[in-house]
Amino acid sequence: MNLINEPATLLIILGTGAGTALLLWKVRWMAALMSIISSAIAAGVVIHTGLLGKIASNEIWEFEIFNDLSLTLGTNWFSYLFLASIAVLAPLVLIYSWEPMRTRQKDRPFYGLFMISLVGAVGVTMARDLLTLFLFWELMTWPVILLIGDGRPRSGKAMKLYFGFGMLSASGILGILSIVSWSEGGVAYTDAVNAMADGSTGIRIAMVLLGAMAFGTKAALAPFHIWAPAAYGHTEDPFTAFFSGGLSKTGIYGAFLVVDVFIGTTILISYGSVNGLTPIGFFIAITGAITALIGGIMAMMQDDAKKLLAYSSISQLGYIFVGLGVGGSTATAGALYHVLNHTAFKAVLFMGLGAVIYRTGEYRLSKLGGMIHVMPLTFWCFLVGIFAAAAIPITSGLASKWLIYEGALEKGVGILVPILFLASAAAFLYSFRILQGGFMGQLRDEFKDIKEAPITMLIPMIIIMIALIVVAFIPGLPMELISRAMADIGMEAPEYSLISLESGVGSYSGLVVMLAVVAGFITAVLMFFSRPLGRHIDLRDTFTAGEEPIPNMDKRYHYAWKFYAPYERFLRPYFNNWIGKGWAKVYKVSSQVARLHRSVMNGDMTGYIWLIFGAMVLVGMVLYRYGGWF
Amino acid sequence: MTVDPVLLIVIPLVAAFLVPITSIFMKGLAKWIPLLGLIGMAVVMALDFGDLYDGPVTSITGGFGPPWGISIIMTPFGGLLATGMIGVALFVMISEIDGKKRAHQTVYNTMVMMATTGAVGMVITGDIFNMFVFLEITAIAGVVLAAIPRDGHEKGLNWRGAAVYALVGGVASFLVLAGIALLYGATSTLNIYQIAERIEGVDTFVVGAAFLTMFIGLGIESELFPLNGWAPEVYRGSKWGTGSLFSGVIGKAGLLALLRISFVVLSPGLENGIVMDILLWVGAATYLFGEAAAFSSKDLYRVLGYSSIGVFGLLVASFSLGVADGIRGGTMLLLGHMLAKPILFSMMGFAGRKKKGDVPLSSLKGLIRSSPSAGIIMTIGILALIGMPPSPTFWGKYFLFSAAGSEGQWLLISILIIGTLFEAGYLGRMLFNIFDTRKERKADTLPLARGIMGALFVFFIFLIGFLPGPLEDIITFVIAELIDPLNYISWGSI
Amino acid sequence: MNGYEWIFYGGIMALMAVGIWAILSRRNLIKAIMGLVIIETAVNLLLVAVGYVNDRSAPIVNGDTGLGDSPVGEVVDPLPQALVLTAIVIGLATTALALVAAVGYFRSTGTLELKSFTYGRTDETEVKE
Repeated sequence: MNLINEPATLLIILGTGAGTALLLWKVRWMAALMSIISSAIAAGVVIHTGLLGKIASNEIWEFEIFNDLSLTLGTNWFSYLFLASIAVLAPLVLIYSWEPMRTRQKDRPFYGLFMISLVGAVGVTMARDLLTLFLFWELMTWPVILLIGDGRPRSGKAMKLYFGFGMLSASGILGILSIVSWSEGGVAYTDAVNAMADGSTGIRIAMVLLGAMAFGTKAALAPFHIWAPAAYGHTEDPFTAFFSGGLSKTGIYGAFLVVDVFIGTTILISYGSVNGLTPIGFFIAITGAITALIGGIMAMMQDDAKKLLAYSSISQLGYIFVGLGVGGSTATAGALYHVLNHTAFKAVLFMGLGAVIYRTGEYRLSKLGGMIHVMPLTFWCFLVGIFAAAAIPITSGLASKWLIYEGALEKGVGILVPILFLASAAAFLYSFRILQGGFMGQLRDEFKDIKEAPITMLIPMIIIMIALIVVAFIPGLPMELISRAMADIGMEAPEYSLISLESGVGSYSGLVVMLAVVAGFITAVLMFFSRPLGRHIDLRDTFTAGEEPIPNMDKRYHYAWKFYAPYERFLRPYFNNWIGKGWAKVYKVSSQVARLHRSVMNGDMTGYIWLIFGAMVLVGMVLYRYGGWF
Repeated sequence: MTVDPVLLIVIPLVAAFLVPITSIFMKGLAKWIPLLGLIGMAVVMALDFGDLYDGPVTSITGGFGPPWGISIIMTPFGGLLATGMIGVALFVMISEIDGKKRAHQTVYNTMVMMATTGAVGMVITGDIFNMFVFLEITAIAGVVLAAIPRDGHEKGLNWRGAAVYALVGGVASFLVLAGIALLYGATSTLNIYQIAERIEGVDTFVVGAAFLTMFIGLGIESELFPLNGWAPEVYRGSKWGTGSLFSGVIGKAGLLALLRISFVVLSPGLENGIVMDILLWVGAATYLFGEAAAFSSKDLYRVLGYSSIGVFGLLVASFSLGVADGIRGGTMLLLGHMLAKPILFSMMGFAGRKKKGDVPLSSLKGLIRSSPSAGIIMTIGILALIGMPPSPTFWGKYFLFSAAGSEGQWLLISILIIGTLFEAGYLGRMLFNIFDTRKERKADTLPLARGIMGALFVFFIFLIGFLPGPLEDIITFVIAELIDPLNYISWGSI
Repeated sequence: MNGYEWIFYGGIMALMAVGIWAILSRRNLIKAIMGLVIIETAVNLLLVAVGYVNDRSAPIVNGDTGLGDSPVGEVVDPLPQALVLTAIVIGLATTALALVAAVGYFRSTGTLELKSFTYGRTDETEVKE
């Protein structure tokens, strides 16, 4: 089965699915079926290849376009990590979307656009030169824009923001491409590596900045993050899970590519150290930490549940950037581990929320509440997702954050820790807000008759939930993949066994932690049942302390409106979206500069003729001065 | 199979003469003559296209061999451009077949044929004075085209554009003529290849003066900043077909003439590659200016006009980089623009046909709902213009960026990035208006002919976008022509 | 170049400058077109001057013409004169067209001055995002 190892096979499978889904978009069930089948086959191929361990790291497949120009594809374990997380997530999300999309108005080819963007994302991870990367990058970015407009107010603005930042990111890649082409005359990744090795400090800094612009935008790194809450908040609900869980990973992949592959540890270390980190690493880590903080605090202040999760996603990706910036074996492993975790838990969170929105049609936390009573399974999946996001043991979310923190501690970083600590506090607060506002508390009367989420929505969620819990016992399983990935980018993974991880500071045993948690849980259960069982009390009695409320009074006792009003009052002045306002200012100033032409080209014919002869004189002067005229 | 390329000039010229004459007594026939003429040109071009893969197709007029008479040298570059021009003219003519009566139809048809004659002539002629004559034919056709108003358009705007273009175009043509006179005085020949051969020995003063006049004159025709004041006015006041002809046919002819005169003829006579530098920075300035101006305009005709200006700047800049990749990128950009712009003009003309005065961006609102085919075609056109893969513009921009990178032109790269962002800004605005379905809009059927032509051009965009490879051989000749004047000289003296 | 030629070229330059100045300084369309015509004349003169060069041979018959002691050296190059004829015809057409445009502009707006315009209502309104 050599054919299966060809990267092109994957693209052809997915491309066929995308093409049919696009052509048959009016017959939605066909489109859905085709997408699910093709993406499932693709996921199977990916898993199969991974399990066999047959990744030919050095092999490169070329497709000639021009005489001296070909597109190159290839895989190694490093890109396989990202490829797998994207390709495996896709069929789950597609199955999940079956039910919610079935009843939607047929006004856009949802599955076709989804699949094109999937092809793009898969292609990005398999590209082996900057041109191919750029090509697939565009393919991945633009179909999404049509999925953003969900018809809610301000979704138009979200589209515009996404468009603008998408362009910024594309320009960044073109900039990198120019640098590499200037330095080496080619655009392959090997050329990029050589360009950085030969290049001056200025070139390297330009590379980092352009990389932040190109890939940081996709991964919602501050200050390029402002498109993300808007876009995540306004995409079609089922797609958001893939958008935030899958597509944002390509940005992370690009960032790793720039920092750890193109520039590489040797060069990074050669610049001395700041706070125990390399200067470039410190810059990235501090930006990541700030992103985590901003994301966390902004998430805390959202009433729109999708925006809350969107900001939380920004915050989590910020942690990955911290891991990338801190560098070294522990933190890098943590960052890569967090990539896998984030893919899973962010997908399950958006799926759970999507199920709630699908059943209730409501996305404001202040209007929800008590969903645990009507959608228990969804709640449990969501809860596990929240646990993973907040790095609470019982889920695999703990291991990755632990590694990132350990990595930071190993290097003895001073300033990062307080920022990350604040970000964690914010993470706790927003996690609680969405749990309390959405799932706990009193169930609204209008939502009394809601059913549990449909089975097609539940299955993917449950699969991911189980994966999150099982992997918590055996962190060695993902570590196997991570260590191979790190070997491919020339790094050594930290020590690990099937059930435990080691770092320079200490060790983490998934099994022990889980057993402790389970033991605690069993103790609690035993204690609970050792006492006589209480009477089951109606929810309302809990709120009214058993008193009969005044008749005709508003029967709501659960309020999630302005949940964190005191904190908000305190934090608002500092987190009033000033980055967004800054970008708006940039836009405004450039518009004004662009309008300057009106003072030149104002319709005055004589003015045009003056310009013509003025240009003639100017060119004449240039000719005289530099061209040896006369 | 080779057909005499002079037919590419003769057919449209005859057609242009026949249109007004037949329209006196046979109105029905007159409508079809330009179409027949263009199809004839297309057939000739199709038959000759294969030969372009082996080099230029030449023809001798009047029985005088190369040093004496007027010779036609259709270089692969010229042939490619001529093909595009015929395509754009066909697009414009066929798109308006919908059985409706339009004002000034006879004049319009005649002038489209004249403009095509002149433009194709400029591109394939090997004689510099002949080029001037064709330039004049194009310019005269351009003035008349600019003077033909849109249906139901605000009065005066069209005349304004025509007057400005007549005046500025007149200045341009006399500057070009003065340049030709200087070159003739210095080299005693009018054959382009022969002038190129003898230019080394000519006094720098004369070469410089000739470059100055020719650059300004042809720069006016190819809408370079700051010589392009006339362009937005013409675009603003005229029909959509005129707009696409100006951006796809007339301007492109001026561009090729400018490139050929500058690089093949004059550059070797001046020092330090100064010609390249001047063209490069003028092109970059034009790009930045055009895109910024388009970004800040709200009337669609002006937006597209400024956008064309920007693209002309981009083309000049990429051809003037003086490296193979730059020329390759320029050729792809040229094709991309010639395919995408007529689509945009056509669909915009359709969407805004009921507007009396300017056509604001909002007239595209909800196009995807009211007329899905128009919306989709226009979307693809817009994406192709930005440089979304797969489109020729994508390859063009890629080669341009890597060429600019390999030359270390950081200022140029930043200008390109800023310009691209501006470009994305206004094209994105158009996209959002197309997909803005908040307000219900009455259903609107795209006329069949317009839809077919749009779909055809979309097909070509995808074709070249997916398979640019077969163009490689022609592009090699384009590179040969612009990088080394000796190639053109050897082609001319056959 | 001898003295005569300098006078000739200087005159052409002066004539051209007059024409250019007419276009540059007058907003009135008719006057600007007059400037255009003056430039045209100057360029035509330039063409003739280029042809009238001592010791310049005709481009068609060069060297041995078979006329014995060739008078080629004394022949004025005939080609520029043909060019001038063409240029004059073209100039006529251009001028006529420009005048037509001027008339059309006058009829539709009642003025011949091409002054700066206000940008219509569409363009005046700020582009809002």
